[in-house]
Amino acid sequence: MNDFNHYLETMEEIGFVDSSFYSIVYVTGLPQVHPSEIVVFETGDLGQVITLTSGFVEILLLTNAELRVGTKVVRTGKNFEVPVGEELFGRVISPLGAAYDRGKAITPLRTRPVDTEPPRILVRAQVEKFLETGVTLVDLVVPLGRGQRELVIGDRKTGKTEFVLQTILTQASYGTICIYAVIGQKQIDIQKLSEFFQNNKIAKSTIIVASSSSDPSGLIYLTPYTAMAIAEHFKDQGKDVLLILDDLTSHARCYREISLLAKRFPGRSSYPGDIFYLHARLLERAGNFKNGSITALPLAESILGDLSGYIQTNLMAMTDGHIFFDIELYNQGKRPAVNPFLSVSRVGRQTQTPFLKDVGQEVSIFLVNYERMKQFLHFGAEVGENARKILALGERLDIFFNQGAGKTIPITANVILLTALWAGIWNDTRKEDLKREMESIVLGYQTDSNYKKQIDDLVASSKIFPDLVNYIRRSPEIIMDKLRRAR
Amino acid sequence: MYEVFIDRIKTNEDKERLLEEIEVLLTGIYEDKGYALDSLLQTGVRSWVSSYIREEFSKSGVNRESFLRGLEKELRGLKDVYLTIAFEPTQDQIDTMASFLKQEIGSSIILNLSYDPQIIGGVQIIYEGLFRDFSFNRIFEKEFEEDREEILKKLAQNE
Repeated sequence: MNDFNHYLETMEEIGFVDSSFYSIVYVTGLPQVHPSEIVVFETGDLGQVITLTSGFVEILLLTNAELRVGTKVVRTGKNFEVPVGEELFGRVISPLGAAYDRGKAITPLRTRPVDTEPPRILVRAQVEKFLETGVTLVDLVVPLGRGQRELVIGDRKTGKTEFVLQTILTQASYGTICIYAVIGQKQIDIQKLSEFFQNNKIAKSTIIVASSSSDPSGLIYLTPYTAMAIAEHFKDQGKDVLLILDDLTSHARCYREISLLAKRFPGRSSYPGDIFYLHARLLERAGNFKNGSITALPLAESILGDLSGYIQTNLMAMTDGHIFFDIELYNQGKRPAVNPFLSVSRVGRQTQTPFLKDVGQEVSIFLVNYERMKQFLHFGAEVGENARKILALGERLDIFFNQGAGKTIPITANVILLTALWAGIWNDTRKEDLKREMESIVLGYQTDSNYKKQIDDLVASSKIFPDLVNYIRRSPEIIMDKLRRAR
Repeated sequence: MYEVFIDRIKTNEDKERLLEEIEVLLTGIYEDKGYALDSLLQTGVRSWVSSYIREEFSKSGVNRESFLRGLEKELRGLKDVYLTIAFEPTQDQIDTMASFLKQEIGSSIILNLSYDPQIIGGVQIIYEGLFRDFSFNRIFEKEFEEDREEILKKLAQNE
């Protein structure tokens, strides 16, 4: 971006700050300025035009500045653009495209407008490919597809961020480009995120677009748009992109602050009337396309497990499902604390093979029965043989689904573990040993290429889940041999 | 009604001074049954301001406060023409510039002059958000842009 004098000479228009109100500045002059145009102040600060009135131009400040009345301002003639390209990999950038980390300055080879119209229906394609998250419960019960927009919702500190990090770990290992938009969070969290990517050696395929809570609200507001613009650049190259927007409730709060400062009429919960439009327009830019895909995982914070908040329901309405992280499950010690009964994936199932669909259905039906049995037990009822079996298997399934943060399990390994559980391989194993034994199978799958191939072939050749269960019952060696060696 | 004042003031400084005088007069309107205003017209404002205002007040049916408020509003509504020049102008030069601009643009303008020797000569104008640079600095820059390398080469040879 050029300096004040350059734009003054080229655009030949000037304005003067008439008044300022936190991050909103009212300017006189600039007769030809248009909405969303970027303006430069003589102090070097940047702003974006949000409204034009007969007497004033209303500008949203994008930098931390305290402008004096009378400060000169010039047009740039351009809407906001950010640098895009491979040189951003491994970097933490600000929503303005500048280096946020301590690395060298970013020299933009190409730029791209941050606010564009969502692609039309003709360039879109049906969501057809499965997107593996590496999180057992999600992959089996609430599967996701490439190009899906899935809301990740839950109270504070219920493991939402851990889940998206697990997804990034899995997807980065498959070569997916992962972009993480940190919207108005603590600086320390941004640093930790960057370190997480470095430590797990996935920084080369990740980009962090970050704004901290101390940044001006204009900058926080821009964060998801910048991240989406970068994602679109790679999508246009035919690549698959995973975009995390952490989180859109903070973004909505920030936009509410801006709107109230700009004296917009407040609506429900004091949010402005265009908040739905704003988020829908953003999320519509993601999806599966004939050329590349953008899988968007927006995060949303709920309060006391309440899913009926204004922004939360808005986001549910504009996404293809949601994964609900339940505070009660979290307090019970379940990790991830995903509530499978309140989570929805509208397009994920269609991306799975008939076999995986069958597995998912079997697990879902079982979970419903298991939950019903647990409710039944609350009445102190004596349970029969069948119910006891369901409860025993359910407890083992809980252990199977329990997965620590930062650990990812390939879907095929999950399937074989589940099959073994269904086949009764671990019926006599103590619960304390169960997780360890399952981990040894996963480790074998991840480290022993022959074993991996054997399992992959076995799962690939199975048509329905009961067939695989019966096969494991008949020949449990595929599991037992590995376990014996591990023991 | 206010043309005499508008024609008389040329620069932003003139405007500010007149506004201050109006403010002083407004404070005296209701003091001491109006006698304070008479006293202020004698001592608190410049003589030409005093004589014009006395003349207006002498007309029948003139509300003193409305007149002064109206004048204040009129002055605040004047549009600034910002001129940046490379020298400090004399009063004659200011008068010439003001009368030229009032003739070209209209009487409801006021000069906002600033002095910047870096522009070397010519003028930079800002009016209604439009900026035009007719400074020597820019003209020279433009000239040098094309022949910069050649000039630098010649200078180096001379050294």
